[in-house]
Amino acid sequence: MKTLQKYFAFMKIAIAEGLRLSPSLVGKVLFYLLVTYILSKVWSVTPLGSQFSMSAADLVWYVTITEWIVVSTPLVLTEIEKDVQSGDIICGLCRPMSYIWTHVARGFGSFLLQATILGVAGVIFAYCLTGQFLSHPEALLWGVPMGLLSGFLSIVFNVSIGISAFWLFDSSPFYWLWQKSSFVLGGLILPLSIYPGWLRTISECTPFAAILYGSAQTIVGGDPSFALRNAVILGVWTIIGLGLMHGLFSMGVKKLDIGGG
Amino acid sequence: MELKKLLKFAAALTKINLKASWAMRGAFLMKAFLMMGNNLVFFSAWWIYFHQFESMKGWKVHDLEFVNAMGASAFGIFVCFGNGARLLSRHITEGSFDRFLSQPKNPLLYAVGSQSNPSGWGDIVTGVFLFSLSGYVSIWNASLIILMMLSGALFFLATQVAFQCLAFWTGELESLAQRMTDFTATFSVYPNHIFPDWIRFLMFTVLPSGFITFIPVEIVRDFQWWKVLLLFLAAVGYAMFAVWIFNRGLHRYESGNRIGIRS
Repeated sequence: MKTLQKYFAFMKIAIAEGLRLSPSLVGKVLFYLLVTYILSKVWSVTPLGSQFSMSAADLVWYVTITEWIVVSTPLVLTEIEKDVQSGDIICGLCRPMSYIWTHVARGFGSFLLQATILGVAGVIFAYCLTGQFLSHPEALLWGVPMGLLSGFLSIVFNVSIGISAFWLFDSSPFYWLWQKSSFVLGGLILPLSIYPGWLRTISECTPFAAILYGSAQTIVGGDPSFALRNAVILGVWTIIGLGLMHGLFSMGVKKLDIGGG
Repeated sequence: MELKKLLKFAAALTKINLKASWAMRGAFLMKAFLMMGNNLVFFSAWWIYFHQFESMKGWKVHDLEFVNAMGASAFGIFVCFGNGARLLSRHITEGSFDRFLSQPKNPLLYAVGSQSNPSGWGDIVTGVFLFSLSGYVSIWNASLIILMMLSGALFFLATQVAFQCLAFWTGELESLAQRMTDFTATFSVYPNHIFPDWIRFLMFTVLPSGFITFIPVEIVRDFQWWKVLLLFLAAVGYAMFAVWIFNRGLHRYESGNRIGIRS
């Protein structure tokens, strides 16, 4: 319990820091609303046809939710990168707490703050754009916790990419590729249901499908069995992600060259 | 004579930046290659979209390929040769602008050209690849397209300089200025005509994404000299405005007496 209290303290610090940097938060909200607006315009001019199961309003809610998860997730890897490049990592490694879990806790604290503010802004904005609320509002009961779990999993993978700085000093190029892959294979803009079959199969073998498409479709589609299946898949990927993070960290610490000072 | 000196200095800065980037060959190639991968993976969403839906308000996949090619290559040229612009507000607020002022060179050009980001080469290569796929490039319009890429880079640079220089009056603005560039880049890769008039007004004024990609694609779809003239006059106008803002702001600059080593 005492161990957990340490990490909760880091979460609270991250939330307090986020509230202090309110101009940055405002910029993030504006960016989120802008991208959601642009994508809603794309769907408003798209000839959906009767064979497409989602309406234009559903698609606007879909991109609102996927963008909510993506924009709320903080860039934890840049903190790890800075620590490695400046040499401050030695201070982090000497503390009586896990270096990586400290970053996960801080990241999740930032995520909770941003997800709350962006979530409220997104719901109001999507309602103004579509003129209607979600088709299945009750799906928010299980959809929002699923979104939070998706954010947690994204942070775990974020930390894993950040650990690559132990070898490479600069992990951002890998992050760009990871991020764009998550956009395409996770169905950020286009739901996976419209993908060709072979591409959908590939997407479903990655964590991205569960993080973005799964969470958004859970809320928009309102199907409890789909939600349960996605929750299980997210749980499995969380175990894999945590294992990967710890494994990379153990290898990285042995390889680490301290720079700066 | 003055222009010749400026061009010579710009060439010298470019040479130094290229040498510095190439000195760490592995990191340079990795950044450029992964940025190219990043761009193409993101663009694949459009290939998937047009596989399912034939057109978007009259635009086909080749039009989007051209728009994204123009946006990527213009942005790539900007970060390769003018990445220092993204640090202007930090230099202004930290008082570290002195090193640009204390040498007998144009301080704005020096500051802007003081840094290069190798990932920009990945953007440029992505642009060339998407141009080749779009089918709009031919021997007859290749030089015009190159000029439009350069004007696009100038729009990105001028916008960044103008926003960053607001720090002379308001203080630290780096993240806001960066957001404005992000907004410009975001708008520039989507068709302009899907937005309402008030957004399109923004895209031809505060966030010049309309000039960066929409006007060039209209030029290659339906060439008319007035569009070319409009584009280049707008690029010069934006650049002159950015220089004017910088010069006005410089009168207010106060040195921070900061001592440091230039890396």
